[in-house]
Amino acid sequence: MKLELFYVLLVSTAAWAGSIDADTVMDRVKWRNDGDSRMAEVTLQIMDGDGDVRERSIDYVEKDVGKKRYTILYVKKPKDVRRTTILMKNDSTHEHGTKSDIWLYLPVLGKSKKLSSQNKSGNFVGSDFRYSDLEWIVLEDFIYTLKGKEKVHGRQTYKIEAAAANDDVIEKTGYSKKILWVDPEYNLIVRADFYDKQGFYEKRLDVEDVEKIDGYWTVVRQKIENFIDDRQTEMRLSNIAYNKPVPDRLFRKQKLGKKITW
Amino acid sequence: MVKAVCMLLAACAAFARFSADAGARSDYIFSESAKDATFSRVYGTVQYQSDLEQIALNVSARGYYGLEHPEYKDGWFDEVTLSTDIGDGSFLIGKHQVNWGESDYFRVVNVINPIDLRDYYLSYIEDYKSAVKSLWMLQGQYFADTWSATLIAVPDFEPLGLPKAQSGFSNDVIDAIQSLASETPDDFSIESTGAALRLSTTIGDNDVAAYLYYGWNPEMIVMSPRYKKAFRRKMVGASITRSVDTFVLRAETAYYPDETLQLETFGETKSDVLKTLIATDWSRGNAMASLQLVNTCICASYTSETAVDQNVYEGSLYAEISTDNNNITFSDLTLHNFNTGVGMNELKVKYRLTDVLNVFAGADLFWGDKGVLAGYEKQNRAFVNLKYFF
Repeated sequence: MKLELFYVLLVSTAAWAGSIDADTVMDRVKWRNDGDSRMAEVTLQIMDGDGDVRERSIDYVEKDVGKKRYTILYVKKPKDVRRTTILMKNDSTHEHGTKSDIWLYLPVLGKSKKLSSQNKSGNFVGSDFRYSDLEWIVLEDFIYTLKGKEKVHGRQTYKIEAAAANDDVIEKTGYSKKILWVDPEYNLIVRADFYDKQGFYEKRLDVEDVEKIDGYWTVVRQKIENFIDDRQTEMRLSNIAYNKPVPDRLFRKQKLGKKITW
Repeated sequence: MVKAVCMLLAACAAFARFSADAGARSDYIFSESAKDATFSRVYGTVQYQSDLEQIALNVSARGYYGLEHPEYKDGWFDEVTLSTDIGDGSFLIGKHQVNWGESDYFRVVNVINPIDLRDYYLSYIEDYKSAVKSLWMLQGQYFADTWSATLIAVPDFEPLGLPKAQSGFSNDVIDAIQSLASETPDDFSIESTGAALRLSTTIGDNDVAAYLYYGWNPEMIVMSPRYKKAFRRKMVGASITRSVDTFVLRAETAYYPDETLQLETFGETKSDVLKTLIATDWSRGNAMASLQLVNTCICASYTSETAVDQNVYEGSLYAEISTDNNNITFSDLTLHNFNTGVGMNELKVKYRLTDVLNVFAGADLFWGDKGVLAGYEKQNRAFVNLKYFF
C-alpha cells in the first residue's frame, strides 16, 4: 500500500513537473486500468434545436483479451431498429498499427454484415457520437501535442491538441483535429472539442460525472453539444459492472442479434 | 378487424418481453394491358423474447390482410425456438430461418430456407425475413478459439412459396403450376431429413467459411404425367469477406452436383450447377453503395444427362444515403439479368416521423419480358407504407 502511494506520488510529481509529453498522457489514457471486462446499459438522449428529445437504449459489453478489445452494442431502443447489434474488434498487437473490424447485425436481414473498418464517421444510432468516438483510442491516428494545463470542472487537466495524422484518418474518423483535456488522476478525457473534415469547430464533449465503480474511474454521464446541427446528445451509463466473466463466444458474429445473456 | 389486431398488438407490447409492429401499405399498380389497380393491406408482427437466463424462448408471428382482396390474408409463425448455451457450444431447436453466406438478394450458399414469393416479388427486398419460409430444425454450434462450426438437421420440407393462383401477382404459368398435384417429402421422416454444416474462421484479414448442404430443392419440377415433385439437392460452397480501406470485398461460390433442373430446351434434366458471386460494398459517413455480380453456370459435365452448357449473368447495384441524423434515408436498388434483359429498379425514401412511426414511399419499375415469377407487367407501381412499432 505504501509502495503504491509512493508510486502515485512519484508519477504525479513527475507529471506536474512538466516532464511528461502528450504521447505518454494519451498512452496512459488508452492503457489505463479499467478491468478485464465491463458492461453497462447506455441511454442516449438526443435533443434537437426545437427541444424535441429522442431516446436510445443500448446494452454494452466489452472484454479485453491481452491487447485486443472486443465490444458489443445491442440496440433496445428505438423500437424500429431494435435488435440491431454492432460488434467491434480492435487489435493493438497488429504489426501495422491498430487493426479494427466491425460487423453489423440487421434484424430485417437476419444476418451479420461486415462493415468497412475505415468508415467510422457515421453517426451512431442517429446521435452526435460518431462510431470513431466510441472505439478504443487508436493512438497512431492522431499526432498529439501538449498545449499546457487547464482546469475543467475545477480539476487540473492536460490540454492536448490531436491533429489527424493523414487525410485517410480525416475521412475515416470525420475529424481533422481534436482538442482533448485529460484528467491525470482518472486517465480519462474529460472534455474534447472536435473539428470536422473542413476544420470547422463542430462539437464539444463534456464529461459531467465520473464515479469510482468497482475500483475503476468510470464516465457515468457525458454530453456532446453539436454547434453545426444545433443539437446535443447526453450519454448516461447505468448498471455498470466490471470484471464479470464474459465468454468469448459472445463476440462471434454468429451470436449477434440475440439478447446479451450468458 | 384492423382495430382488434392493433389492440391485440398494443396489449402484447405492454408486457416488456413482447414487442410488436403493425402497418398499412398501399400500392398503385400501373398496367399496360389491364386496368390500373390499387392493392392495400394491413400487416403486423408480434415477437416474444424470454428473460430466462439458461434457456431462451423466442416466438415471432406475422400476418397480413388484403383490404380490396379479403381473400388475400395469412398468418403464420416465423420463429418458435428454444435455445441454450452450454460451455463452448450453443443448441437450438425449433422453427426458424438460417441466412448463410455473404450475398444479398441472390442465393448462392443460402439454400436452407425456401423463398416465399406468395405475396410480391419485391417483398423479400423490403423485408427479407418475411419472404423466407421458416423450417423446423435442430442446430448445434461450437465455438473454438479460432474457428466455429454450425451443424443443422432439417427434418422438414416446404416448397417455394408461389403467388396464389388467379391473384394479382400470378400469371398463366404460375396458375398452371399451382393447379398440379404435388409429390412432396414426408414431414419428419429420417429419409426426408436435410443436413447442413458450416465451418468458419478468420485467416489474416479474411473471414472465410465453408458450407455443406444435403437436403431438398424447394423449387419443384413439373413431371410427366402432370404433377410436380421435389428433388434432393447437394451443395458445397465457400465464402470470403475482407475489409480493404473504405471497401468491403465479398465473394462466394457454390457447387451443386447433379442438380435436377427444368430447362426450356431440355425439359426435366440433371446437370451440375456452379454459382459464383463477387461483390463490393463502399461506405463513407452516412452513405453506402453495393455492387454484386453473379454467374450461374449450368455446366456440361460427366454426371450431366444432357449436354447443357449455359451461363447466366445477373447483377445488383444498391445505393443509400441517410440525412437529418438518420431520420431520412434515400435508397435505390437495381437488379438486372444480363441474359434475359429482365430487371427492375426501386427508388425508395424512408422517413422516421418518430422513433415508433416510419413512413416509406417509393416506386418500382420493371423492364424486359414478363417473367415466370414476377409477372412484370403487373409490377410497375408506386407505394406508400406506414409502420408503427409498439
